[in-house]
Amino acid sequence: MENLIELESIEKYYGRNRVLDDVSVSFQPGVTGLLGPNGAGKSTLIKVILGLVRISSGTGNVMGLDLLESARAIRSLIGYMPEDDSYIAGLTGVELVRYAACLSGMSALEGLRRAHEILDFCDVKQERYRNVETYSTGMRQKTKVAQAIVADPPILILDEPTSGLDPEAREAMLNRVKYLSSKHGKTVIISTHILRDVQQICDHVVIMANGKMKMADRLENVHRPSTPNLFLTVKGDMDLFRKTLTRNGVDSKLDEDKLLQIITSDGALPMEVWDSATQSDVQVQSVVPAKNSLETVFREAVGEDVGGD
Amino acid sequence: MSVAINNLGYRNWEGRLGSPWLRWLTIAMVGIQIVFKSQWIKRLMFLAWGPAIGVGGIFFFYEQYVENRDTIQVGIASSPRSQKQFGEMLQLVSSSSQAEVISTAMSKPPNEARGYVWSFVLVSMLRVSQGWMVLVMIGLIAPSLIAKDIRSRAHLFYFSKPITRVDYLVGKFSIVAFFVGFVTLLPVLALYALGVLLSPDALDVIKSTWFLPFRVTVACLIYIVPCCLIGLALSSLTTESRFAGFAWFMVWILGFVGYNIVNNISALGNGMPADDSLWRIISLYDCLTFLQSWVMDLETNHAYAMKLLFFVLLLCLICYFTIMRKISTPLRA
Repeated sequence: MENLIELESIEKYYGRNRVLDDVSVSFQPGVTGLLGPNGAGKSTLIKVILGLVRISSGTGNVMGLDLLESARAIRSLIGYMPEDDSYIAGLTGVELVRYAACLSGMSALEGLRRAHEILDFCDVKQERYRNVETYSTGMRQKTKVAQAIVADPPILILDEPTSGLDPEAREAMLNRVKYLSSKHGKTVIISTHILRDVQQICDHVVIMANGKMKMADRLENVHRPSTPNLFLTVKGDMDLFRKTLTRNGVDSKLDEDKLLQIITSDGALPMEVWDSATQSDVQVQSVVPAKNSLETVFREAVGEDVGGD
Repeated sequence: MSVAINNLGYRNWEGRLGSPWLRWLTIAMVGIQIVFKSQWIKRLMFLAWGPAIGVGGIFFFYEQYVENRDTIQVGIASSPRSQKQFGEMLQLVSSSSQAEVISTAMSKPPNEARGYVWSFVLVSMLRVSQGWMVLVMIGLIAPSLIAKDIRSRAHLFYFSKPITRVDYLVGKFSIVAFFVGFVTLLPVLALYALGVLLSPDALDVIKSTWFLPFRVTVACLIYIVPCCLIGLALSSLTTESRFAGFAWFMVWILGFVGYNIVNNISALGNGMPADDSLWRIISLYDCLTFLQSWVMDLETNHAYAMKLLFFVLLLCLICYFTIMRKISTPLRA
């Protein structure tokens, strides 16, 4: 698959502090979740892609444009939604979005038309005529997305797009992002702490910690465990069943949720399990293939305890 | 969820983007639009034209005087007394002590004297407006331009778009320059045009003063560029625009008072103020108005003017790099 953004051995120092350490990663079409604890270097990586900070070493390109030589051209290909509140005091919502359109190169009239169109899409109604300083968090998030997509860039970088949103608004925001990716071919990078958001809409996951790239893969691969185990729910004498399994040569262990984990080599349920069930007179109620949870993968990748949402 | 009847959903945009070199103009125009919302700015812009109308009368009287001198051989118009009185009238509007020089210049033939007298009147007009109008105008506009952007983290909004820091600076600079130009350069140019129109022999006047609009423009730029850069530099140093505003007024007021104290002390010691003292640089007002007079050919101490010009350029460079550094800092955070 074509890589829209390619970074190779990127290093970035602030003084003596190395904030990006030999980062090599590529971003493909679809939605990519950029995960990492605070201080992992996600924001710096985004700023490197946008050409807002100069890299200390390494190379990279965005849609074939060199990171160092074509920063302005690269920014015209990317719509960026910052995590922090970022607005121009004294402007209404529609004026702000029109301003973003004009800064991207649209004429004032076309910018205004487009601003209204995008604000409709982002579900900003009459509030668009109010000063942005008076907006609620949810309204600001919508306006920030609107200013990022108003110039129709092929790449979107959204920093914590669902932060501070109520469940309904969060769902709408995620649907909007998914829609832009699936129906309009946008390549979206979402930097977030909320693993559930990534789980819900992302095709790829990139995990960073301490300025290093820890993992970059498709979400389905991330979920696939290293050993294809199975989880069984059984009704009956669990201890007897486990003893019988051991006697029949099947490895098993009981997890915290009282689910019986069968350790297999190929993901198929061995016949011995059925034999053991018959012998110990238990009923097998369900067989579910084991999946790595994103939270587990994330914890393993960053090597420390972190709280998911 | 209800959908607005005009909600067409997301649609790809197929238009052509404009030149990347004019993005600063967008910043300037939106900034001007925001500043225009202030009633005080509108009032100031209106007031700025008052002196121009008043001083326009001086051109009229001067040209009448020249016309009378040519036609009436005997009378007060041609007497040295009337020349001195006219010089004193100019002194009133200019608060300058050049009445004697003016009256001497006026004794020359009109075509030779006109350039000097007109320059003098135009510079006097500039000083009237610059003395307080520019001070207040920049004090109201510039402090918030960058400070508010830093406070509202607008740098991420701006610099994630295809614009550079120079575009941003030029855009912000243009906002202040527009308003300052409106209360200084524009009235003076209008005053010149009015003077020409009120003159009995307009063609003769244009022939002997054609260079004045260009000189006035340069003189105004010498004032506008450093003032706007200082205002923006102060704004970039803080997130509180009131602190930047306070600093702006203090720079001018303390500088002006300080220079006058030094000048008076010097006058007490030597019997007269030192015109070529480098102490002048502590008062930006005195420094810049001297340079304006030099550009208008009213001051002839070129070596001294070059020293002041060097100082002003240095100041502009310091302001430029301060602003560039300060607007870059939040991006690294």
